[in-house]
Amino acid sequence: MIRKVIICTAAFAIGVWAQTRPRDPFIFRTALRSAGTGGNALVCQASAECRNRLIAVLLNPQMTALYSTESGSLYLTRNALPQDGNLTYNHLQFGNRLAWQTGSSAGVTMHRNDAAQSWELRQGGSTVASTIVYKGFNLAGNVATLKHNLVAGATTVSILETPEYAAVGGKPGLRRTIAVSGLESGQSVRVRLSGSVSPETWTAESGGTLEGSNPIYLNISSNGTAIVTGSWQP
Amino acid sequence: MNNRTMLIAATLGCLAGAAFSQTGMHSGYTYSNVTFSPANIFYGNSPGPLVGGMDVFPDGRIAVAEWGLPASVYIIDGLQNGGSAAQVKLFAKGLDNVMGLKIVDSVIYVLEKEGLTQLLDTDGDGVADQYNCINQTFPSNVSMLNLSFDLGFLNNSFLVPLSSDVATGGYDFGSSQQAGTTAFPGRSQMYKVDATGASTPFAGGFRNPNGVTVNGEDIFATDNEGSWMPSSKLIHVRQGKFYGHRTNPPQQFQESNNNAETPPVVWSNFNDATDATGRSWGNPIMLQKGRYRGHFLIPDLVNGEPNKVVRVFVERVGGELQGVLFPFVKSYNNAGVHRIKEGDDGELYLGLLGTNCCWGQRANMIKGFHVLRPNNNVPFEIMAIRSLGQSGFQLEFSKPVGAAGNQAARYTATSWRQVASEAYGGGNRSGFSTLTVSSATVSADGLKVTLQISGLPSAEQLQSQPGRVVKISVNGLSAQDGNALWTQFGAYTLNRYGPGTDYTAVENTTRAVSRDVEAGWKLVAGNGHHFLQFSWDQTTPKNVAVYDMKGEIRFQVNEAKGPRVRLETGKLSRGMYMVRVQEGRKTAARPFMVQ
Repeated sequence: MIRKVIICTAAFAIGVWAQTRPRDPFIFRTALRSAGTGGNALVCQASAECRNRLIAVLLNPQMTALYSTESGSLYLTRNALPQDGNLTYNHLQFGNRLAWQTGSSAGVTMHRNDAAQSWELRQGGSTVASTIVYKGFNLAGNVATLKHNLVAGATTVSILETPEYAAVGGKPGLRRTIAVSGLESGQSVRVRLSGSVSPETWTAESGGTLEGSNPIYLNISSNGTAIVTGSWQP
Repeated sequence: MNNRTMLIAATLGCLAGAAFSQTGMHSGYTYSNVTFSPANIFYGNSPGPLVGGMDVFPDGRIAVAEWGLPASVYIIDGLQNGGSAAQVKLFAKGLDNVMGLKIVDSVIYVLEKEGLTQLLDTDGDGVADQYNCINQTFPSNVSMLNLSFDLGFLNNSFLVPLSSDVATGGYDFGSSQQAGTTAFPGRSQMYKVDATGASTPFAGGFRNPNGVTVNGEDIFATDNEGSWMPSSKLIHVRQGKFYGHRTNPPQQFQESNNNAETPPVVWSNFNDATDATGRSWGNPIMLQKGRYRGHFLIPDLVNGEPNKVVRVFVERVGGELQGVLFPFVKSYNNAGVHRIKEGDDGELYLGLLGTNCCWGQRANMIKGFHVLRPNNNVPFEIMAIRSLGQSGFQLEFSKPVGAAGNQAARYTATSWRQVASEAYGGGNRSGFSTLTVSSATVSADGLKVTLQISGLPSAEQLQSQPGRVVKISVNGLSAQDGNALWTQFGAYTLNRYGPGTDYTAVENTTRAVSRDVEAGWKLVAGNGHHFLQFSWDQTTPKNVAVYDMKGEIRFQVNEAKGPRVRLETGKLSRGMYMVRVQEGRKTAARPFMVQ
């Protein structure tokens, strides 16, 4: 897997989408069944391709982001919209959820992060045991902000993430604006950014620093807002 | 409900918007034509919603959640006080298969397939801007009927009932019909979720527990026929009990009870020809108003079933609850009724989710919302049947019976037990027998008839095999005023022998208080605070105090004037509190929850 890590600020033009959404509603709970394979299995008990407890955010015709409410991760990105037509989102039967049409219009999966928990609380540079708890999302017009708490003993760190489509040098990208509060002295958080599937580039714009190459992490060392943008070559 | 049922439903079903028929309507209620504005606001531009969950605000507005994905929540206003022109506002959207909706402290909570969500309107524009996850730790996977059903609330905890791990065809994963699979662990249970979001298994052995309600401290749930569920039933849910639906591997309450099933309050008489009830029950409600106060109503969501809403009268016998079901609203409009709620004037709100086929195909399901308002007509019906022990039963009628009331030949009685097996659905009647009605004695006022019946089991037999259904049918009996009998049978579930005492409705005090309060002020939850919005004379000073559940004042605002007061509830720990407003000699209070 070829992976490019660029640690810089605004190395190239980033065009943030004007917050119009391709569908209404553009954010909702969902699950994946046979993701990426086009399968339609009714039994998902043993399939690694099945994933429940996801939040789909349809940011742009070139960007669907799925967040896992269990791991707190950006679980999947895809440069297309799920099958739709009439707001059924291919909800054909029972628990059947998101699916993409076959063929070029369906786009491809660009990122998938299967980490059990993407967020870590760190104390003095060392990771301490913590649990990520999904708290829902806020809506302000067409802007959605996902809410998580990172809990470790008596410490609760609030993490608010606003995803937005960003065209990066002609490639589909995702800008993640992450507001952290509740960090105490000596504490920091980091989140695993990178996934698998396609080459991806992450750029820290402000408020945090990138670390590592495989995987790539975003470190946030104090309360405040960090902005990071990822892009993919589908 | 199985595929066969769905096929029958499809055959008998009607399209959304089909003409309404009064056939089968209970004559004590009048169907109210409701118009929605804006028209066709609901899913698929339908004239009515596809009702997954429903509840009533203290001020009489109705919140309706549509089923499916993505689903919306609408708030319906204008049907209070006999109104028929409803204003509808889209409150929330993008929700996932909502089957349960509960209003607590005037805040809407929805049970999505994979989580319990609080919907907050923090800026007061009438649209939810926060979708707060209260809990999403209960077991869930992506398989077919892994549904989360109705949502209850008692003592600061939500009640979350989960289906078993049902696969296509209606059998569970792990059953002999799904060779090589195992059931997803932790399903088939009811969970309690407290204000902090902590979840605890409460009881188990459910298949499709599609309805929850509470009466006082008692929790009730409906469950639906299918594998290990020979007929639908109304259950008095108690902590740690097992209610019959087996899983492979067994879930915790099946194991801890060693497969011993706690009998229900009432079995439906599924597969009972034209008398059949309980093919796929929705939520029970305990009526608070009118002549049926203290009785349950339960709807059936399958189109074309002969009884769309049944009524259940309950006795407490030896400390346990058992009762009898009667037809109530019969097969009007061929519409399946999924949710039922009672308004403050005793009106019934019926939310439709009738099936033509298959839960997932929203476009093919029957949508609609009906209102039935009580009228002054008193139909001739059996109001109650009470156990008199092994000797028989006493029937209580709504009107004095006619001259034939003392003819034993007018009454027939049959009996059976519902025995659970893996085989799908009903028909598992064990020990079916016809009993002998040897005499019928009419009371002096003509309202009660005592039946001597032979062939009932001994007390010892009943103790070892509870859950015996005794169906008493009444044939060709009219009231003294000539009215024909509407309720022609009652199916009594004998767990113990009476006599017992009538089970009664416990007043919903929270709602009663809130309704008074709503006339003067409204509590609106915000992010880290609440607002009290006054509609009384805003120039009159008011004293506002917030108490914890120990009665300690946590903070107060005196001499408050103006349209609203900000309460810094974000400083409070999670839990239930009481806010009290005093204006001169007028005081009103209501509970609320801090998340």
